[in-house]
Amino acid sequence: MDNAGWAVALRAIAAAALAIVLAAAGAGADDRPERHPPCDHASALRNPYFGDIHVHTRLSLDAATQGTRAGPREAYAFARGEPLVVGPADDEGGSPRTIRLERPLDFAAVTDHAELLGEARICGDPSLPGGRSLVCAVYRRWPRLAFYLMSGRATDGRPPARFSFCGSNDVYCLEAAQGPWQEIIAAAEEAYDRTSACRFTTFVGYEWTGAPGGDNLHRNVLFANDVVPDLPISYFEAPTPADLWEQLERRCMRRLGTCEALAIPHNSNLSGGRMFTAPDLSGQPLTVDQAAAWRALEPLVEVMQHKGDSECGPGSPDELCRFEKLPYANFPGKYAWWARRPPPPSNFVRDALLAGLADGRSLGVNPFRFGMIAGTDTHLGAAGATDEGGYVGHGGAGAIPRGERLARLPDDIEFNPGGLAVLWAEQNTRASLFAAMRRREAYGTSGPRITVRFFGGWELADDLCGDARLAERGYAGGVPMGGELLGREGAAGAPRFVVSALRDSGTARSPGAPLERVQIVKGWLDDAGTHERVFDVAVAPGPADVDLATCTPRGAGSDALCAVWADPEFDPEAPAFYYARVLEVPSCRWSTRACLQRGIDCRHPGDVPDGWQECCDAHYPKTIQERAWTSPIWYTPAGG
Amino acid sequence: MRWRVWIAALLVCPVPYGGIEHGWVPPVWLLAMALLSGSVVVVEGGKTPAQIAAVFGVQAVLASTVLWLASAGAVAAAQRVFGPTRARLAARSLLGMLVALALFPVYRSPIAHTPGWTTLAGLWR
Repeated sequence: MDNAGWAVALRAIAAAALAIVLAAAGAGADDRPERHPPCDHASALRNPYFGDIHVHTRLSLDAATQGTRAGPREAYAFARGEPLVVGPADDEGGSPRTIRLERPLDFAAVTDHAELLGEARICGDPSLPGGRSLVCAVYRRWPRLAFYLMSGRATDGRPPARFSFCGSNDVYCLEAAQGPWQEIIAAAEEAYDRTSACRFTTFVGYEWTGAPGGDNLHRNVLFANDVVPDLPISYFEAPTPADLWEQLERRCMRRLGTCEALAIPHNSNLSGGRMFTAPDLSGQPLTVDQAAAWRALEPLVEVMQHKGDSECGPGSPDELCRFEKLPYANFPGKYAWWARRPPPPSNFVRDALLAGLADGRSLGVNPFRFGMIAGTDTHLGAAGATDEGGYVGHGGAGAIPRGERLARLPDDIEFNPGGLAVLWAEQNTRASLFAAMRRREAYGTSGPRITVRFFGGWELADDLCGDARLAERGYAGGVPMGGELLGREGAAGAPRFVVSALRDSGTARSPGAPLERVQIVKGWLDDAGTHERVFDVAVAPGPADVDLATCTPRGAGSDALCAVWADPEFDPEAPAFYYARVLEVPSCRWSTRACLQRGIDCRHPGDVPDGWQECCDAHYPKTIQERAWTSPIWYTPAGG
Repeated sequence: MRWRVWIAALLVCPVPYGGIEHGWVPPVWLLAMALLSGSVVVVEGGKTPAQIAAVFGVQAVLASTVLWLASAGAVAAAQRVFGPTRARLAARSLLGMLVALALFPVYRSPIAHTPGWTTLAGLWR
């Protein structure tokens, strides 16, 4: 080995040691006393828990300026199945819209924006210091204009700085942020079911909302318990992801002992290609230390939410990548036609997973070992409201009700209701769910409650699909989603995978759709570079589609699909990842349902009412093929 | 007279705007948004408020120019068609119509408190 080779090896060893130390800190979550009795329905083979860990309430400035009135307590109550009154308000200041989840969630986290938490509080109360400033006057008189003017603080390319009304050293705004932050913590504590029924779990969390130059680098930060920093670490204190990690380490993990956090990037599809680049925003290649920190602090990525799908780029040969795609690469592209450009491949998670394989070889650490989840990013406090039927919108984008009728489509047409996070955990407690997130035994869905098991191993038997002990044998003979398969020195044969999916049974009002197929997406690295391929491993018999005039499903589909699959192109020298994608049969998209409900007839364009023209815009799909994405299982060659 | 017609048009004539949301508002409203955003730039700095001020400001200037041309053209046409005395009456009628426009729900901006179609008072409320 030459000097350069030794240097790479030493760096890799150092990074691996750091990763082990950080992972060990994470593993402690399950061991820490949590003041929680064992759950009645605990299972060593783990249960799937459905939740939403991306929820905004009126404490977020953008939600408040768009008319949202629900706070963290109302959001958690909604997640548990209680009704929620949603805005925007009508001319009289009321709102006739009340929504309710037919199936409560198992867990949720309110993740209001850390930035402007205090500013919004000050501007809402003129008696507070700074409350009579010009910006706050605009906030009270023209909240929608204030939304643009104030949100710009997190998108301006220059180093971020708080408003002057925050006083010297930002003391007024930091002080004012205490109230909302304590409200977030208290609401999470109150809603957490600490009885043995374990009906509902909450996490204290927030969103770090950095978007330099309008390139979205947002991350949700979740804490394992109620030991949290005095204030959320925002873009103003930590202007890069690297700063955020360093401060989480210093102000949480190291300083408080029992404080533990992880960060979940989201909307890489709006990042202008920057989400998976150097976290100090230097534009330089990743260093070993950065790669190790990334891997330790960000075990998950949010692959789908209100602002589109981030799995894979629309230019991919995989035709199922053209799913809920936004037609722009970053935030400015949404608002200004001159800034609009198509999203580059580097905006997407699959590209990052592939890049991670290459980084793993060159740095010795794969920074992008992401498990997958999804969320809503609701700005109404409507945690888990993912039903395509009766979608009420996202916040300010929602339409003003006029009696029973909406004045326009309830959201901008390129958006969607968002998805759900699913965690495989022994029981519904913070410790158990947080550990599931840490080990990436997680998956995301685009909304439905599809249940997916995914195991990889060397000796998984062909008869697993018909065996009621699938999970037991899967854990015994392999690793679950999020795990790693290590190459076997001198052994022949390809890794085997079992994927088992159950349809969402839905509810009487909103029945779930049957499954169409199960795929395994493989990415690998060889001497020629990175590659990807999609394999259909289980397909329901017969075609199925939907009648767009009535949204009635046509054709069959399956209630359950399962397959045991061995990689036919396996190269033992090539590091790889495999994740499962489960697809429902096509169903009507939320926009199609809303347009139908409004009676829009695109055969007579002249009769389409104002605000509903997008119903007839052929650029947007009428159907949606709902889906689930599992976390990958990584294959690492022996000695690599 | 054309000055009076122009000023009335600036105050009440709805024109389309875009860039930051879109809707129909009088040019004076666009100017007000530009001035508000511009004031925030002066006090707080920031690229985004400057861009917002520019977007509103440019559209206010454009709309004002178009309305000046239209006002001048309308008054000149009235003089040509009706002669000087009756032209004044016609221009006053136009002025009255413009003022009456304010009472109809022909304005819309998501930035306003009444984001649906509304009257001039509703737009400024």
